[in-house]
Amino acid sequence: MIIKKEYLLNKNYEIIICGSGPAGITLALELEKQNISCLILEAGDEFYSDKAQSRYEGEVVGNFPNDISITRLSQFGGTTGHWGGTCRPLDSYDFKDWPINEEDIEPYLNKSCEILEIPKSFGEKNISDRLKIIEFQESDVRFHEKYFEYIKKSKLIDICLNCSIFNIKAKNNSINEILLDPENKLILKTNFLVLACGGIENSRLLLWFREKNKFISSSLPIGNYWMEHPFKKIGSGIGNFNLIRNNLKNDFEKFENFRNWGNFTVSISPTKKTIDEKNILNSAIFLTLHDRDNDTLKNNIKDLLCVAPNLSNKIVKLFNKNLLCGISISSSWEQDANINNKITLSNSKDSTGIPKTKLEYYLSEKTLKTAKEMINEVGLYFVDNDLGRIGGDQTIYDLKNFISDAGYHHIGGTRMGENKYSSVVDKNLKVHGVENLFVCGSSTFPSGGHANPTLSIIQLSLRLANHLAKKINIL
Amino acid sequence: MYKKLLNVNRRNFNKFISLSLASIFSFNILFFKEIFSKSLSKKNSKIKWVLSEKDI
Ligand SMILES: Cc1cc2nc3c(=O)[nH]c(=O)nc-3n(C[C@H](O)[C@H](O)[C@H](O)COP(=O)(O)OP(=O)(O)OC[C@H]3O[C@@H](n4cnc5c(N)ncnc54)[C@H](O)[C@@H]3O)c2cc1C
Repeated sequence: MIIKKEYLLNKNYEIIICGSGPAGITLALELEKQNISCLILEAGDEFYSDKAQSRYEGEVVGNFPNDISITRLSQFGGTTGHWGGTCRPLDSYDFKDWPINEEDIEPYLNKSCEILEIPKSFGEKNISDRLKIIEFQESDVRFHEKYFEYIKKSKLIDICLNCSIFNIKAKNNSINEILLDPENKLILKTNFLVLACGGIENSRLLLWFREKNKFISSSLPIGNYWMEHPFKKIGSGIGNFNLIRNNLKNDFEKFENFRNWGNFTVSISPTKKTIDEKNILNSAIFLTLHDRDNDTLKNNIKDLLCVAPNLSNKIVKLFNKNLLCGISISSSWEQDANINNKITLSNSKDSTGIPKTKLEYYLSEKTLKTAKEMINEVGLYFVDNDLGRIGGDQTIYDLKNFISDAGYHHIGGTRMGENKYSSVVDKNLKVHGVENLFVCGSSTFPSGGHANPTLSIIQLSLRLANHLAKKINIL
Repeated sequence: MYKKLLNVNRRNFNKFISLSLASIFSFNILFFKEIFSKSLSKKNSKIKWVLSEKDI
């Protein structure tokens, strides 16, 4: 049920969760199923408000493409209020630097798909030993629409809106008090605190708590290894529509208005062999085919004939048969974890008195190399099978000026690991050195793969609920 | 060298015209006229193409 801030005074909760995005809500609902009560503190209101959103303002240095106050939402349901809904689990080899494996979160995949109301079907088809076609699912779920009324009536979940945490107090490295205001008037008691405030705020809050308290170790790399999924149009091409369609045919993508980005789109990813041999990161390439009325086709023919005059005859013949199509190539891909990409605290403060975020973010050579190598891999596949010709756009050859078109997936900053010098939380998402402080969300990912993160966030939340339930039942 | 390429293109274009005399006034001719009348030199290419040896 909804509870007003003033009624929280001196209350004691088994578990307090900060944040009502998919990470926080999934956790609360799963705990409820196990008969465990909790309180959710949500900094935003039921719907969007300028006041809550302004807490997300901050400073950005480097190649980050977007304003960090608009790439997330502070309201009930969190950023799912304006997310795209594209879902796919991580690949097994994305867990290389994680302290857990795919098998540790796979048991939660079915339930996560049910929450997101998508089929548990993420098809893959190898088109060579170097490339595979992959399937995504699209979710229409917005957590506000799906869960607000339910949580309002829940007997085991309390939620306090427009309420954020200001500080924590601990005894013997165990948090026992939560302070909701700088004057220390509103104090709550809890046995477990979980931060589920999103991929930037989790780091900001932990950095702030460490500044105010000695019990959070100075060795933890809080805010470091921050990542995103660069997304950009990276290439162009022309091809034989029929041949491409027959060659890339599969059971899951029917070449129908997939995602509305163009006429026909298919998604291609490197196999592990390609990733290892080329020393690149994981990636998804989206080929969109355009018909002859589209300028893409004309421009790409002009460009190709500048360097490949021998193809002109073939092009004309295909055009006459109405088989020639233009191709746009976009990609969403992995960025490598770099200690210098980081969230720190800025000198200015937000309305609640907590320093704003400063984000330092640069792309590495390896990140752009991945885009170039993927164009090369898909390009060679097109040559070998005579499907057409593709090439890389100039943007991916200019690291200094490369700016992605996204900035929506916020990964790292409180990364999971065994070592307290190179990670912030352990494999159960508990902050190293603090007995009862947990972090949930993509900030805990040690690497991001190419898959959109929310499905994996939900899998991790379900796993955390089980872990907390076991701990509570033992106590 | 690129003058040579240009000539190859013109040759192809002429061949194309002769191939499709029947549709000489068709949309196809207009479509390619614009493309072939552009200066087709390597320095005008903005895309790094993945090609086979036979293409160039
Ligand atoms: C435009 C856009 C499109 C996207 N599309 C996709 C997509 O297609 N597929 C996909 O998988 N992902 C997508 N994402 C990312 C997705 O939205 C996030 O991965 C997901 O919402 C993260 O869930 P979360 O619960 O960790 O954080 P959030 O959803 O951001 O929720 C965090 C919540 O915590 C609250 N909060 C913050 N600070 C405090 C505090 N101090 N105290 C209390 N509460 C606090 C916030 O108000 C918010 O409600 C997209 C994101 C954007 C911006």
